[in-house]
Amino acid sequence: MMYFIRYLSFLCFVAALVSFFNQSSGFAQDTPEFSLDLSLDHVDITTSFNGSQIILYGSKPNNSDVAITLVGPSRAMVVRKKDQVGPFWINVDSLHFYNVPTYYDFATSIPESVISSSETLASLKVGLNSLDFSPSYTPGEEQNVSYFEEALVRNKQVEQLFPLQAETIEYINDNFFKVVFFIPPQLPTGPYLIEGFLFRDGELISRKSQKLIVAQTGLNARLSDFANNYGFLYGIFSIFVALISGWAAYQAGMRK
Amino acid sequence: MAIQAEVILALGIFVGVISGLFGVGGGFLITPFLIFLGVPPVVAVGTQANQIIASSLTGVLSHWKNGNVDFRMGTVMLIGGIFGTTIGIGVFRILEHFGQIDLTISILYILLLGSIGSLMLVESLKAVFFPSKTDTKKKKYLYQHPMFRNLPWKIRFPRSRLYISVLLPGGIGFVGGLLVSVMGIGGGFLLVPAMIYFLGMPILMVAGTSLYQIIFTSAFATIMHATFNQTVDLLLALILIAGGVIGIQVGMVLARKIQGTQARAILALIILAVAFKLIGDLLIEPLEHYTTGLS
Repeated sequence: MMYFIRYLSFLCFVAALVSFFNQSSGFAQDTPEFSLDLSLDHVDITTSFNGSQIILYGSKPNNSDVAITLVGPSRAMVVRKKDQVGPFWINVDSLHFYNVPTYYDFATSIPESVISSSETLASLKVGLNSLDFSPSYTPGEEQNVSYFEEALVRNKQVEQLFPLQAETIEYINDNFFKVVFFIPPQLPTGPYLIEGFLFRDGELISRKSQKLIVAQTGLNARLSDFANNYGFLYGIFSIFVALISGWAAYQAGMRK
Repeated sequence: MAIQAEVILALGIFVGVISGLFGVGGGFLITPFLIFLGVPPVVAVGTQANQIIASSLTGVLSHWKNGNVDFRMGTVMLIGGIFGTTIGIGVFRILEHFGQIDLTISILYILLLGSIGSLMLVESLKAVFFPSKTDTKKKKYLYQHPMFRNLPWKIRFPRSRLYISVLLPGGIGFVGGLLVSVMGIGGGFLLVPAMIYFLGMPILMVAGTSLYQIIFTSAFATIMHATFNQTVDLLLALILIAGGVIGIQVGMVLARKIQGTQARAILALIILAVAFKLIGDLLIEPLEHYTTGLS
């Protein structure tokens, strides 16, 4: 892993040198094209996984701005609201959202408010405000929906599954950049999409995407896979294990 | 699950000690403690159903060895138990859909622990302060009531020397199935007295027979929870079982050294404290009014 990062940094360094000579020798006015590369294309979550980071390298032409998004698989979620009924705090209202990314993070080279119009950002899903969770509401409830939406984002932020603010894009030189996404231990599994968007004067001029697979490995992962996909068999297996341990406990007790 | 295995093991040992000390199942304490540790109530209940299989098997094997299991009676009970579990799981799913399952589990536990705890406390205080006044009242057994004797579908239960309607043991099993599926407890504390008072079973037979049917009822509940709710956590159950095995041995040794009445008073206080904590969690305004879950 370390070597790989060093190797990549070395590549960047070489690329930077090449671009420097290209510029100074003057025979190529073209600056680098927009490109992205990941330090890893998969994240394995083992039982001892304690969080990690995903490092992304990229190049971009001069006078352009970059936004990067890291989006996990979507799921349907429900947000419930507790209210006081008599002396008790109980769930009184709920709202379903059909399209909530299990994980979301993003980075921009300049503040999102100036990188492009909010319509463009919304269509590209850049920034927390641009995410559309597809709420299921009946007309007339719009005001309420925003409370539920804010609560959803807030809860996701507490769980560290949504960012509090944009990650920073570090520049190695004018054309080469690096983004570090810190990922929490409870990173949801599944296929992730990393998308890069290149803007010039607020206009989208190029986009690139990369896939990232987050998978659990080890016993725990196999068990939870089994539990989620083959519930009935998992139930039978659980009974079998419980019977064996109950019998073993009886034998252990007998020996005394 | 982000809870440390050591904490779960400690809980298993603690409840095991109580089981060994008092001869109770202890499931009624595991579920609330799992909830306090942050395990979702639905997972606590589903996992408990699995754990009960192990502890009931351990118990029934020794009763079986002594010939104290009425298999015929137990089988009739477990048929009732299957019906109870099916309905219980259905209710569970409906309540989950409306977001009220956590509240229901809390309230049921508050009622259960509150009543058991106060009864035990009163009883042990009586025993401490008026040790001479033992309960000499003749208990009235309800199985002789004509309402029970005239129920249809009577069959013979030779081991218990009874000729009664299958509706009686079936009905008790039904309640057991409801308890396993909705609360994740074997319900021995409720089934055992019911079998004595409503069926008139010989006291020696009661514990073994109740454990025998609980194994199958909770096995059925485990399958239903695993299939329809995905709320069975096998690793969690295994750690609890392992802790329980250690704790029960300690508890049985302790039982020979500790004064029974005082220990019962302490257990009553623990149970009441758990009930009050559950009530408190409902009364205190949560920091975040909105909760998020998968739908």
